[in-house]
Amino acid sequence: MVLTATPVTRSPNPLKGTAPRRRRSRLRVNAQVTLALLVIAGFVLVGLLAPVLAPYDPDLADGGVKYLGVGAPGHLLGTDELGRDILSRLIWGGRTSLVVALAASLSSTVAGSVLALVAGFSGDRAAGLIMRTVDVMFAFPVIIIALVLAVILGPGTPVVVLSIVFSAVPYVARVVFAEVKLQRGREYVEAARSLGAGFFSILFREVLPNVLAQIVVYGTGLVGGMIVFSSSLSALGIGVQPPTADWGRMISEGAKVIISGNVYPALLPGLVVLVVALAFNWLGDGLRDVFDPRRRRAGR
Amino acid sequence: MTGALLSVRELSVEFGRGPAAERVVDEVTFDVRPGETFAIVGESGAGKSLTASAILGLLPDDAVVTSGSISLHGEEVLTATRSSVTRFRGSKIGMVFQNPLASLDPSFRIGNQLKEIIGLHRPAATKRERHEIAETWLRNVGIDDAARVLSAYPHELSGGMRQRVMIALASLSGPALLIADEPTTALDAVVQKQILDLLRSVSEETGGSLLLITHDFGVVSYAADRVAVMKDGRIVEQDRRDRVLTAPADAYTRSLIRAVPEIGARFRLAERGLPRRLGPAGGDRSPASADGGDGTAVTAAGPRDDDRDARPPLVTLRNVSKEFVVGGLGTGQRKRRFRAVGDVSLHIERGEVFGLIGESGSGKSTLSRLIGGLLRADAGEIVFDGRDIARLPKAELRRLRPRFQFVFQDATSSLNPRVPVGEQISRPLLRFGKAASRAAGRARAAEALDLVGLPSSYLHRYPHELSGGQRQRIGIARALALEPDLLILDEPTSALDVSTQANILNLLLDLREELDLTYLFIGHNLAVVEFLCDRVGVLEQGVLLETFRAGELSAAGRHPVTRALLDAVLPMRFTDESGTRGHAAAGKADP
Repeated sequence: MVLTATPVTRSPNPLKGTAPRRRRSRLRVNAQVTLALLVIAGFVLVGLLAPVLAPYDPDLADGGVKYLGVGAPGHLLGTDELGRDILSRLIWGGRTSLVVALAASLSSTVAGSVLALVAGFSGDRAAGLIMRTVDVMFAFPVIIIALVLAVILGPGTPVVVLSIVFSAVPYVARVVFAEVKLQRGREYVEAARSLGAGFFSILFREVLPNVLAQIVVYGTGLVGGMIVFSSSLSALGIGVQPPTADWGRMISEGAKVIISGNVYPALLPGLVVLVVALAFNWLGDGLRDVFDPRRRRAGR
Repeated sequence: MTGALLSVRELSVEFGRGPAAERVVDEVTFDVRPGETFAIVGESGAGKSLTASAILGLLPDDAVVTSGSISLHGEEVLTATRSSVTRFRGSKIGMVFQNPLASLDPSFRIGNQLKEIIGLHRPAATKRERHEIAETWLRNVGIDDAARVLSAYPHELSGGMRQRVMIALASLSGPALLIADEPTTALDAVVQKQILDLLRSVSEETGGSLLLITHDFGVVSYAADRVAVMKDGRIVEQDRRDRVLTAPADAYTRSLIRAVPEIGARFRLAERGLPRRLGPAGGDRSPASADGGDGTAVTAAGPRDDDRDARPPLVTLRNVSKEFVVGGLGTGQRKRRFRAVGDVSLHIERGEVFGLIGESGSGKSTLSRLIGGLLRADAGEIVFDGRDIARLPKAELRRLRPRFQFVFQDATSSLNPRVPVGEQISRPLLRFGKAASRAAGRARAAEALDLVGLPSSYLHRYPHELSGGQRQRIGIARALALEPDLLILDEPTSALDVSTQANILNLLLDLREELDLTYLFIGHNLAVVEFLCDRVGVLEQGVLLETFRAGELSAAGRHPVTRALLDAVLPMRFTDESGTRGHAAAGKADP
């Protein structure tokens, strides 16, 4: 016997008993989104209020208090290898890290998605051109792009953002393209054409709502990785310039002193990145459920 | 009852637990006797598939058997251990599913899948023996070129072939009970009959019983010995087939039976002066009470031929051809041309219902998309109200679009799942300036819903919140809101339950009278096409074989293809108690 499918109809009446279930699951979804947004808003707020909140100048090195542990008097989260206050650096570092990660994730998600949507609904030739270009971008070493950009623009945040966009766009485009191709074959697209919808109307009003969930989930998932990725560019000296604080830099600098038994300088920013990345993933998951009318109802 | 092969007693299945649990199978009791064909018939959601799943121990995780017993050969199934359930599933019960493409593993050759199962039942068999058994079984299920099929992948076979393979897989262990869950619903009418013949002959051969799950009374009347009618989880009636078909005791059964379109039904209704309607609306009610009863309802004979011919045809096709390029780039095959529509000429009068019929792959959908401007013809002209849409510039074609509208086969996939239905109806209205504002669009959408018999509260619903029939009504409302002249109906009822189909067909007949519409109706069930259409065109391999008036369907001189389609319609009435069902069509050899 080949028993791979169980054709079972779920409910005799698809409309029965949906209302209370829907309300409950919407609340649950909203709770998830709200919590994630609260965490993210908290970090943004702290970053904005850095001048007020940070107990010390984040770049102030004090050779007398190197490697203080968590809870040391005067330095709540201790100090790093140069005696800088870790809490202050985390607070200030959020400014650069969040701006870089958000700007990079948002622009690569938008650019990749638009490319994929257009490619998905153009002729074979145009689609081939777009997607092969994307393939070339895949193969191109990001470091070289970053170096060239750094020469043109001078090192700094814009270089990091642009390099990350360049490297992330192909991934977004691939993922979204697969999804768009799937939708292209659906009958509602043909129905929309028969109802007189034009190219852009089909792309953005019919198909986009059906792929938006995937886009959002993928886009929010990028954020955490982007923070860390930006640090490796900074480590090369083409991104954020020392001594400016940045979570990614803090991790990579802290990593160098772990071997001597000082875990906090790397661990603390690592934990912060973890929490932020999780919050964004949660946000993506929750938003997917909000976007999907079916999940909204089923809630399981 | 003693002597029953399968005995189901007061079986109840619920989804979920506690007070919120939903009872989907409600104290169902029936027996399947050795060697008989027992059918469970009901509409979607009646609980018939869940009953079958419970017998196999394949209920979904959130479904629980709350009471009752199921015994096979006197052995309790429900309390059996997992390993013994697995054992009897393969050897004592075989299962054939509705969609053979989903139940065959797409990445293994048919031969491997067959031989794997043979190996399970006869571990001692050598490789060579397994191969021979597989070949024999393919021949048993009427597959002549067994060698080719053995080395083919599931996607390389037609739907009918796949279902034959599934039947071979399910019955090669000689199970005492073969369960077939809607085995022919996904198939063409012609193939459906062959598969039903095959199922019966295979079970006769293995001496087993057949439990047939279906929504179609045509299938019941053709293949079943006894039948149970299910509704909302309960069995409302069970008896011998002929008793249920000729003298149904339950009102629900009666309405289901009356909903089945039959060849010649419209003319029988016409003779009795009744309106051409299926189901309760058509049956023995007086014409005045049907459909609001304005007394002027056109009787079943339908077309008022005389005043129609005065106007020029709405659509005229002259030598229309369409080719597709298949293969090429990356598929590892050479490009080749495939002619989907070849040199078709026909015309559709204003106000008539023109039916196009043919088996799947005959080009009827392609032809409808050419007429509806979704595809461009390679050659020939398609004149719609004086303009050749095959050569119209894109922008002008778009302006013309509201005048010919589509209703698609699969209402589920032709509605955008992420857009509320109200917006799906009003969007095109705003696009073509048929509504000045969003509010006006909503109002027009509500009117359109009213036209198809849905309340305006449905405007805010999403497609998944509606039943299949309601979705198809939305599809019709969306098309009608644009006030088209021509409605192209691409098998709009083939995915629906029989009673839902009857409702939709009745609705279409009502709307045509109300709105002076012209229909192009595409179908594969000749009974439906004859019931609805004034004239019928028969397509095969992209060629229009003949066109004729609906009343001349059974006339002498019909093309053999037409006759084959006519034969494929499952007759609803049997006078002979023992049944005179021929199984020769299965084309099987002795094992």
